[in-house]
Amino acid sequence: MSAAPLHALDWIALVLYLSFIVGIGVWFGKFTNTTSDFFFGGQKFSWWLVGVSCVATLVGSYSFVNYSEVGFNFGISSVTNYSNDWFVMPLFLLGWLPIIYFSRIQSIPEYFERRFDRRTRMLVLILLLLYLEGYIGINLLTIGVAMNGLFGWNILLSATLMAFLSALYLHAGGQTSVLMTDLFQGFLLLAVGVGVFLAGIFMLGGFGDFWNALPLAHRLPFADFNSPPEFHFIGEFWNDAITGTFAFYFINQGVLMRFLSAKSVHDGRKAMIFVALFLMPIAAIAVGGAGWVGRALVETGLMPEGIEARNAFVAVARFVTRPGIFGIVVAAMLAALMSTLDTLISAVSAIAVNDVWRAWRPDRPDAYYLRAARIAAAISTVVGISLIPVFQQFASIYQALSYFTAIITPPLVVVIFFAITWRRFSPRAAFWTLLLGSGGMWLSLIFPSLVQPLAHGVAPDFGFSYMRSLFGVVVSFVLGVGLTLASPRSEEEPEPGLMLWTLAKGEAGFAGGKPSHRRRARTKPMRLNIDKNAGDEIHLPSKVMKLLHLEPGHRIYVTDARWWLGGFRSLHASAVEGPELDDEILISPEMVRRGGLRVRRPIVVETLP
Amino acid sequence: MRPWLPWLYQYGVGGLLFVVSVWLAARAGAFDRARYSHRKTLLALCVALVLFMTIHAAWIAWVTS
Repeated sequence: MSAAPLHALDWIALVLYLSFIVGIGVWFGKFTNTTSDFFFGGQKFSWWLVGVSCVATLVGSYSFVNYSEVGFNFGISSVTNYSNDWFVMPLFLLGWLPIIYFSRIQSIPEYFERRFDRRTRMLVLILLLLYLEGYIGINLLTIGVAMNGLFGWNILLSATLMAFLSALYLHAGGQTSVLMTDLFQGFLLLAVGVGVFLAGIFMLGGFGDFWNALPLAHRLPFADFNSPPEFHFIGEFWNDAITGTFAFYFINQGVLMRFLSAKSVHDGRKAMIFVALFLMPIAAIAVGGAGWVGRALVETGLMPEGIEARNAFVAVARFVTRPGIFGIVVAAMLAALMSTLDTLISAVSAIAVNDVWRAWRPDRPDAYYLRAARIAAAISTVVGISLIPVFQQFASIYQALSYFTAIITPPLVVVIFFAITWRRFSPRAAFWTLLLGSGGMWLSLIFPSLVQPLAHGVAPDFGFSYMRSLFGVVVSFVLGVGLTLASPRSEEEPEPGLMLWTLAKGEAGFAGGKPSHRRRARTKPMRLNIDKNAGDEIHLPSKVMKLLHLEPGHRIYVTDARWWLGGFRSLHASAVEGPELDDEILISPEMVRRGGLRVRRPIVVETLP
Repeated sequence: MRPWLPWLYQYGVGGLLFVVSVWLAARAGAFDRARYSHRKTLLALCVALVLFMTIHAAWIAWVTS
């Protein structure tokens, strides 16, 4: 990247943006009182808020640089993986999401202990911490390199500065701060990416001129089936559409926590469909668009031919924007980093507290674990920073990324698939599939020819780096099936609610009252009537109980009537029949505080499907 | 260039995975046809899959025509 100095207006835009984000992150921290608030934001947010903030996590700091580079070289097919999440969605939406939501799983390793045994949990714990800390290091290195290119700053120093800013508001507010800041960052990075694309098209003279300037192969939605070896469809399909998507939604603790912050499983499902159907195609244009218009600008002679593909995003953004606006583009890149980084750090913090600290220091007050979570977030940031020099040893950032993800992801993906779909899949099979599967992945790094039989005709030039995922999936699948069939059938049934087959039992046992299977219903705006003797239940007039088809003990959701708060002021509770008050519900001061409700503000009561 | 091969592979293999997942969920009782929210989720998934399949097919046909 060219280290041309930023205009004063760019600096003003950048500093204002960073101050705003840290400010709102720290402000939302005051609503965090418990570890549940810190990790899951109290499971109360609306689908649209979860969805937009999820996109901010999906689009990492490397996305603009990487997809613009690939888009410049190969065209629109660079973002195929933004439109192919659908194949693993049924299992996620109908299986994994309700399983973890209803069983109140606080971390992925915890699921493995409850479904299998302690040693499997410890193995997953190690693999996941490596995976997440590796990702933190990669994100920090990417932004360090980007800032080095933009401003000439030291890589380690600039990465440390950005890590410090993200950790500052995460430390204060946990998941609530992450969600709220990611909401703003999500809008900004989508708007800026799409804005750069549209500005490029405007400079080219319109969409027709842009389209005609692209080479034919650049216009297709898919890359060529198996060539060239550095970018081909079959590698994208197995590495991203199947293994990558499965890993991202099923084992990425940070993403999982985002969906667990939704007010209900139904809202989590809506958030996911909203993301995959509407936001991902927009995000695809945002991250790849600069590369596509960059290619068209070069083809038409508007930009010089010597442009380096890996600099396409910054070069095109500089070319199509004016001083002040370019500062916002740089802010969007930082937003992409911070929004991914805060999620990853909060994920490591959740695992460290729930899987390590609680086991070592059990039965302590919640405030104790909340303090531990904040310390863990700080330590995780420091470890991420310390990994930067390690990743700098690799030839490229992406080589480093593919090396550690390829080893860890496929065995975990296969073991989770069997864990939720196959009753007979035993603890012994799970443990050894993970261990031997990871060993197989290491072997394939030393002997890439092992991948050859599954390479679909891809040339071995890049050590089959994309096809390694398919190899790992096949090896782990064979191991899982073989080890299970070779073991005697276990008489012990795992805890209910941890497999597709026992999901209904898990839902029935979900704390907070009995589930109502009716369609969602809600009241008109009502008022709070505070009574210190009301306890942990919400007392509703009988006509409201009837309107919502509620029986005593059913779970309800009470929320501020202002929809645009996205559930920020709300809580779950059990309903009971109370005094016949006109348009009022009876509630204790403690419950009002817990939900962050405003006494004078109208609320609505909802049933959740 | 074999522009249709990726499309056939993606929606053939991916589609098979999609169908098997729905079948597994239904067989295990995780998908309950009697529940409105479950029906709505499955409908959204199927519509989205067909939508993307159609858009990709139309796109390839347009570019190669």
